[in-house]
Amino acid sequence: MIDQKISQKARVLAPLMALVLLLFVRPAGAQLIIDDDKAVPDFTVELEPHGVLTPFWPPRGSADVGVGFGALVGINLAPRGFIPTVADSVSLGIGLDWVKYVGGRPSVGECVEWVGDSPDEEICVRTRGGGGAGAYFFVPAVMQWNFYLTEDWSVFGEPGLAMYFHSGSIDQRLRVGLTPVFNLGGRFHFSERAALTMRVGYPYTTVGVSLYF
Amino acid sequence: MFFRKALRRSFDDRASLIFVFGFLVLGCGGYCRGDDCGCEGLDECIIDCQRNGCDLECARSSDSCGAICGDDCRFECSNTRHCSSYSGDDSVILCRNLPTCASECGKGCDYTAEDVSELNLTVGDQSDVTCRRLGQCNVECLGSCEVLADNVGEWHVECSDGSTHEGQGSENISCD
Repeated sequence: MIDQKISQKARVLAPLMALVLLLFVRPAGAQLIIDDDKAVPDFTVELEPHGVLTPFWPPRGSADVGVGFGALVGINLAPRGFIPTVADSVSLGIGLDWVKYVGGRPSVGECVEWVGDSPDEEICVRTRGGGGAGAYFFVPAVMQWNFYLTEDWSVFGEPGLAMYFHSGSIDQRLRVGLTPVFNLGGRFHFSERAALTMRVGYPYTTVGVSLYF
Repeated sequence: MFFRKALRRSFDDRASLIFVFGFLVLGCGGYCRGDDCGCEGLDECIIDCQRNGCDLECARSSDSCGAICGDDCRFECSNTRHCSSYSGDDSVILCRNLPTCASECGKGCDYTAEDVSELNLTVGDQSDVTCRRLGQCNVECLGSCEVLADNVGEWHVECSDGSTHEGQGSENISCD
């Protein structure tokens, strides 16, 4: 009985282990390929699940720190990039990220929503700032311009916009907004079909794995 | 040539540490300084504190003061035309020495109004309300609550079971 259970587990784990080994085992390559336009990896779609960390405040609000997770799907729109003599490519990235912000400081803002039947009964329930601690969903849309420096390393710039959704800490009313996105990042390509991807910027920093298809 | 060598040095395996650990940067500045958020002298001062445990104060705004805060909020408001608060559970709110106060607070609210012409208040379950030297004290209780009317011109308490209590002067009113 115990042997059967172990066998079942092994059947599940063995392919996973093999996949991990395949992804990680690759000799290091430090030869520059940036001036070889044909050295760009061949892929159509990139899936990048990642963890999220941010020291920045949420849009229009105050918080000490935010942590979360999410994923970005990159569609390789220009595999040869914008510059003919350089190993670059351009992707459109669409993502979904959940970030939980904690802490924060009070702010003074203009009231944009009063409730109450008469001036004497009016209660301000929302200010123009309005954000702060709580859970946010971001839906970023970015242009990712990649530069392949060596076989192992590439870097990218990533401007764009993100819609965000969050509910207040007191009520559960949904707030929606738009915020700019700008990231600088790098990838360590530990296999032909996968890379460790790190980006720093606003509204948040991520560390994840890129899988190329 | 020099550029290539520099790039190679920059992107050896150790460089990954820079990416992983080099991301934390400074947060933004600004926002409130001190508990009173510099409200004095402003026309309208609404303090927004979207977290728990805020400790806020607003006084001497010419038109109105207000607070929006989460649970365990402490807010003291005085010496303006109108004061409002919108807070979560277990809040402690003091509104004094002004014409009108209007508030909504969650469960376990401890609300005190002193020397106010008119109070309009909605409180959650298991709240305590004190109306001291008020012209009008209007309270809606969304659950059980205790209302102490002390030297009040007119008080009106609505309970969640639909019953209402009205009177003048001083009295203890309970909603079960």
